[in-house]
Amino acid sequence: MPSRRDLLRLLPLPVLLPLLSPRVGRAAITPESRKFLFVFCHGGWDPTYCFAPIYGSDAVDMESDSELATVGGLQFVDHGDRPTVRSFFERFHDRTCILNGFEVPSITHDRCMRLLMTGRSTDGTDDWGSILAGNALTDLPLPYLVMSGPSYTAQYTSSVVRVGSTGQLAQLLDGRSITTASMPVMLPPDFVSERVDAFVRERVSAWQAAARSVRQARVAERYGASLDKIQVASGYASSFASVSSGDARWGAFQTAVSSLAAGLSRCAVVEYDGLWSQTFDTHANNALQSGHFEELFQFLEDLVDLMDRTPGVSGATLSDEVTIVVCSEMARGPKLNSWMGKDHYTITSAMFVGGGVKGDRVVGAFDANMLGKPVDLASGELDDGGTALVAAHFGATLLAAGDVDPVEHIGAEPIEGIF
Amino acid sequence: MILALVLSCAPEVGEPAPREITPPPLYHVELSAPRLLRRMSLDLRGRLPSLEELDAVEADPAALATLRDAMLDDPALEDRMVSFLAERWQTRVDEFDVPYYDYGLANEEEFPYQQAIGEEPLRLAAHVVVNDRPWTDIVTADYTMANELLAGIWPIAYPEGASGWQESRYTDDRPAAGVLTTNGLWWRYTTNRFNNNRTRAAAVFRLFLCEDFLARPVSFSASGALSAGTTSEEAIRTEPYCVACHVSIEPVAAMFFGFWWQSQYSAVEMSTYHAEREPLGPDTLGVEPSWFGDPVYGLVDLGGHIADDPRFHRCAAETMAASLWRRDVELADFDRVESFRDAYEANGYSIKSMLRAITDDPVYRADSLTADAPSDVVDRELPVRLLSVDQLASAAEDLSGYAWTSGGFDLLADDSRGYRVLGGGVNGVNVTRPQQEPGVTWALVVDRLAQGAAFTVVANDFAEGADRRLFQHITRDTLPADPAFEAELVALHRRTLGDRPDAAWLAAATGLWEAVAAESDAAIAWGAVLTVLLRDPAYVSD
Repeated sequence: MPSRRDLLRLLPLPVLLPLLSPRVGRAAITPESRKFLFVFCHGGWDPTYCFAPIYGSDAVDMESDSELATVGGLQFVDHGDRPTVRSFFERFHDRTCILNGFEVPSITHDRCMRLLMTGRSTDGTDDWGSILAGNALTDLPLPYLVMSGPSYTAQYTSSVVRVGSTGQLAQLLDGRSITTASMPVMLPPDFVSERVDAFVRERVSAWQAAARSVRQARVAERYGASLDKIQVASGYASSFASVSSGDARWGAFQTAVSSLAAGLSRCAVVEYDGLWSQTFDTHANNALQSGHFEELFQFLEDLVDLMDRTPGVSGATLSDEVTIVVCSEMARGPKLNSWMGKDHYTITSAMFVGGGVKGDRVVGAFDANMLGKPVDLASGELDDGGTALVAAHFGATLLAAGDVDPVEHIGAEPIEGIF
Repeated sequence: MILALVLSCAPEVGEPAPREITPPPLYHVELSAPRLLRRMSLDLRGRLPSLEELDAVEADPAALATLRDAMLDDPALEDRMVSFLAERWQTRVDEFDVPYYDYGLANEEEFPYQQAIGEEPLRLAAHVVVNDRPWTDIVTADYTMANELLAGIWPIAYPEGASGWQESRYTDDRPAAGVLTTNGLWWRYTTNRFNNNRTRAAAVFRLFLCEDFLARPVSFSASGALSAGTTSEEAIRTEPYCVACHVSIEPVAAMFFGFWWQSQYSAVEMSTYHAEREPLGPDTLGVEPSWFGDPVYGLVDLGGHIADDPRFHRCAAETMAASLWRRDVELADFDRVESFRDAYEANGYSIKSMLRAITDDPVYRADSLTADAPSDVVDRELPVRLLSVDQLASAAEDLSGYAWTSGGFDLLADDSRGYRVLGGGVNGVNVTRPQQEPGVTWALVVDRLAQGAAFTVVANDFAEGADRRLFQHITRDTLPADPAFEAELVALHRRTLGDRPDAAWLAAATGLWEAVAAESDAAIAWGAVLTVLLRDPAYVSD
């Protein structure tokens, strides 16, 4: 009888999902087995359209006709144009935590992306997903699946698997990359490929055994591990092709869920680039933020529903074992500019949904000037004598939630009270 | 970066005193001559050494110097310089604000279009190197480099009857200051009505001084700069926290308003220089153009100031060392990088002289480190380096004739359809440093490229009456017992990996050939043998 993993491997996702059992209850997941799905919102969102209800301040331009709403322990910015934002919080507030008022200390998109995802502004660092995936309990075939969006690696390069913007990973796996190229090359028969693969493995092993330097041994070790992972990943080539068909963005979410559900990956990242792919970068006409948030939450609502229906590897459902991390590289400034837009701003918000998250909670806050309020890291409570939050704390919290020592990696303490 | 910051803080008073450079202790064990030849050939020509060249260094390792000097005069150096600089300058991006069809170009010209725009400044710099002109020309030259495509879409006078990349001149009366006045550079580092060329000023500092202003933290929490309703434009001028950096950025940004476009997505706007907008700089930014306090009168003068700045020359040494070492330059490399700069300055700002110095240096020539190497040296050095995706592509094409393309796209130089980043390359946007260790997609790219190259050259060389490209000793009927069989294996091993095979490898490769041939034919068997060589860890690294 095929195992659950065999079943997941053999069946394409659209066939598979209806067969999956419904959600039967929340199961406890240990940090070391927790998984992460990053939803990266490109362009720098405006927290005052969702997470930051800073009403009554002359220093902050809030959206007209919006109002403060409260659902469970969450307060958010509500507007009639964004019914899905409201319904999302109504349905999932008990497993949603908002982090407000942490700083990503730069004002350019590139550097802010790097800072948000690594805690540092320079090259040569790994992002949170790479570190978490690189420290997974087991040697996963596709540890960190990069569907789209930023990805930074240094030490954990071999943990990162990029799908490519038009399904290139699938083309490489199934061989279309060379059979359909301008100089088409027939794939050798399977028995030839198997013998070639075996030969290369032997060579890599021998090269490692005879290594004249630590570096050579490391390169060989990573090469060998990559060959092992390819063997497993080959069974999933069709799943990765989905990102190049139809609604690519939802296809990307589906593929990420499939990989997490099959136990192939510990982390995945999907970029959401805004309504009509216009990004959140609203230097002019800041009102476009509304449509971006509404569509984002439509995706998120569908995503949580999908994960609720999908069995987990160690939990009852995938929702139990996957934390959805929703973030953007920067925020928009408090005041509208002369183009009715808002310029880049460093102090922002993030949202955590699902596995292990202490729901109904907002950690951190903005003051009336849209500056972040200090927080007691040990409790997550506001504390005038506490710590001003930065991107490194955001990342440290994720690392700790995944049983990785954040101090060792980035020298920052996590914020307690989110997980 | 660390090096650049330290250097930028060093006093610059009068003539510098002669440096007494004490070489740091050496822990580097040198590569064998054939493997070192292979490394140099891949770095400087993008292709593997020939058997004749390998014979020469096997017979006399001193021949390396002569061969290296010949490589520096090889036209292929231009493409290699383009590749090196592309990783640092990050102009080879997949998409620009104006798409190819806005110029009426056909679909098959999409890739050549994006490639040509991104390469314009790189080609200019590479042209300076190949012709051994002073490196300062990259910011002072009165020409650009263009190919037929760029000359067809932009106001450029291109030599009549010529083809390929040629010295050319813009005809829109723009000032001529090397790469500083190329469309290609400023299409990559674009701006808008909110940014007002500040991105471009930051790019000038990063590319030419190795000073990365954007790596400096910006904290509104710490400064309170935007509190009480202050706008960002006001804060930049009045808030000390912001002024600290912007006092250097704004006067340089003010010089680029000839490249300031009314619309970011207009071919008409973006193709030409707008001299009439130059006065907008001081008006918009509220500062007069200057270079760290020295008044500057236009972009030509800016190029002169950059060329006179000692940091420009240190940055050149840092850039070239990092490119050839395949790692960042660190503080511990200070003296070594200074020695490269000395060689370059002593020969009239010659990058070729610098490349000679770098390739003569033990760090570049290292195969491994001695057992007593301290941990910081072990952590820093990369005695084994993965080939870049450019090197994988060019070496495979030279060896086999296989060009991995589709729909006009070079699939190892693009990410919209291709495998550049998946193969370990840089996309210039969110992947800004080449991959240094194997990963899943890298191994897949290596695998497919090896298959494509191996079976292409086998099909060519085994065709009736073919002009053989790689296989020299065997025919379809050659069997392992024939002396020609082993001769071919040895030649293939040397050609791909640089050194001679040992008996164990010969036995294993023969076994592979026999097993495959038994179930298919000799051509597929030789394809299999070549495939394993092109996937060998000693092939994909140097």
